[in-house]
Amino acid sequence: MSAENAVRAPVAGEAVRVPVYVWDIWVRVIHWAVFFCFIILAITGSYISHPFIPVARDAYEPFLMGTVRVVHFYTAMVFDLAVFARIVLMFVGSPYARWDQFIPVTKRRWNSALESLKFYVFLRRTPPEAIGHDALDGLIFAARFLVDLLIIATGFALYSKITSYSSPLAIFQGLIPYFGGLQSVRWLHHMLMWVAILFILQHVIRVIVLSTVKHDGTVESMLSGYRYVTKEDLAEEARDR
Amino acid sequence: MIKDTQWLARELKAHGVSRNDFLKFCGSMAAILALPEWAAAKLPEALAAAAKPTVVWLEFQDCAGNTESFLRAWRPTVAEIILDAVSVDYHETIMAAAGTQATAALDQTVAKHSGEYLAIVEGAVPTGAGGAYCAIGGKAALDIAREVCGNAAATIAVGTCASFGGLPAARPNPTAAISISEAVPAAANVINLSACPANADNITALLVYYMTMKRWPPLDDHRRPVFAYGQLIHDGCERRAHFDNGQYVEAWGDEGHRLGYCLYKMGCKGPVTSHNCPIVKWNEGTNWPVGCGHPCVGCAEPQFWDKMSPFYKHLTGVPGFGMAANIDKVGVGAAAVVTAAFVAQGIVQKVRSRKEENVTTPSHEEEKRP
Repeated sequence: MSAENAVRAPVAGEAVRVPVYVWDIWVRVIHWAVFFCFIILAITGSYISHPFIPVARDAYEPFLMGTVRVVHFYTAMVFDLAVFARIVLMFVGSPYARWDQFIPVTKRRWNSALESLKFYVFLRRTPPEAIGHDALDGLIFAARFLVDLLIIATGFALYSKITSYSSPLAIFQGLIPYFGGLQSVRWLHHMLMWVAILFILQHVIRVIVLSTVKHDGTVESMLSGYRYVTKEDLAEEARDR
Repeated sequence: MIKDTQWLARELKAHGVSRNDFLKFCGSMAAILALPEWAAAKLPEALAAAAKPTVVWLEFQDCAGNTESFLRAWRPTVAEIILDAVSVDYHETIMAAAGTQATAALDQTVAKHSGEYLAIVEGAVPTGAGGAYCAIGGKAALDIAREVCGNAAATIAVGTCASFGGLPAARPNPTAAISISEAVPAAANVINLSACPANADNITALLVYYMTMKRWPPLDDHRRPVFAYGQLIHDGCERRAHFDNGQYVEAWGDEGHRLGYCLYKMGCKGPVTSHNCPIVKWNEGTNWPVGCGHPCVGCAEPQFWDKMSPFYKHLTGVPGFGMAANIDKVGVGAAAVVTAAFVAQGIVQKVRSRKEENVTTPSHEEEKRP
């Protein structure tokens, strides 16, 4: 798990940090799959809700909306599988991918989440150290998972009405009354896209801020898998386990 | 039901309806009900031998639009016999009797044919102000509905008001209007024929189905017959090819509108509404809303007045921002606020941490010196 020999020269006045392999290949692949799928889904979804590309009157079989919808559906399948795979990893993956990274179960993580919150309201100058997910970040991601599951559920509900009667996906028609009818499903599906966009924005900005304030390589970690953690924190983590 | 198997033949003869017209009528009914060929072939024989159902037509909080639709049933000669001449013992709008005589006719039918007659109900049932918003002969609509529908063999709710509450039940629902199935939960075989108004062809087809098969057709989650509500309007729409091609009406009267392009961007609710509108059409199969250039408003769906409005917009507004608020504008605004807040927080903290580094760096060197 740790590669303590690859120590980076610390910036003056900063704690000594060692690289720790926190995000394994599955976490990284799923992260980028979800990201790129979401970008495609948001663009195609926006077109489906408000077709903004004009089609010439004499265009020969343009089939534009039909094509965009098909791209949206196939991308959605990859997105769904990626989200489900990530949920599976919460139970079978590395310690930094487990469900207790998202839902704090120890008092230490609850305190850590509170300390992290203090950083965002200027009561602390640096956020608390964390090897895997920051405790507050984990909580935000737990909410993000709920949003993703709702997006998937509303998406399936919408798809269930346009698929053929013989399709197994037609059973998701049963979800429609729980969302208050098809038009409400449509509205929710669209609104949740915006909620997901807000999640992405705060995530990207916060990761960049944490990386520059703490010099812990958080931004690069989603490519390399390594994150730079203080020795004290690593020792504390080892005590906890 | 009156056990008389010759009534239809008699009525047809009396009205001068030819055998050919009768067969045409049966053919169109078989088409609406999507019967297989062998069953369609048996329909005329079965219909001719069918018993005559007794019908009472109740009218509550509504605009009589369904009565209008029903009186204008096309192929009038045969449909009139099926609809008008089914023993309609009570129908406020078209019956000759008035006042005490009319209510007596209703009471008599309920007492005499209890558990046998069909109740067709039009309009929502207001429950506010002790039922004062709709009372007939001093009796509240709710009491009438309980008595009449409670003793009927089946209750057919025609129109969206009777099926789901419709316009009277729309926000803020000042009269506390409810649908028939909510008003009389104990009613047997409630069948909703929603739409504003209900299509007369579907009413006729439902009665033909009942008279010939002696049972009710399969129903969907909202207790609507699958033969009429089993498919999205969007899937049967004649403009569907324009939707798939990405050709849309952008403004009323523009080139696309004149060319018959898809009305999706004008707020058409066809993709979220289930009905056989595009196939059966209205006014003797002449046309239907989308066919004459108006987007579907989703009148066959529950709470359509609240959920489908604004009728000329794709989506409803955002709660707290008004019904007409554009969901994407609210989304872009929220994204700008979140971005600004987190970027500002990050910049402030970065500046603070840099100051800290500047302060702490010399002190570290001092510590190392001795």
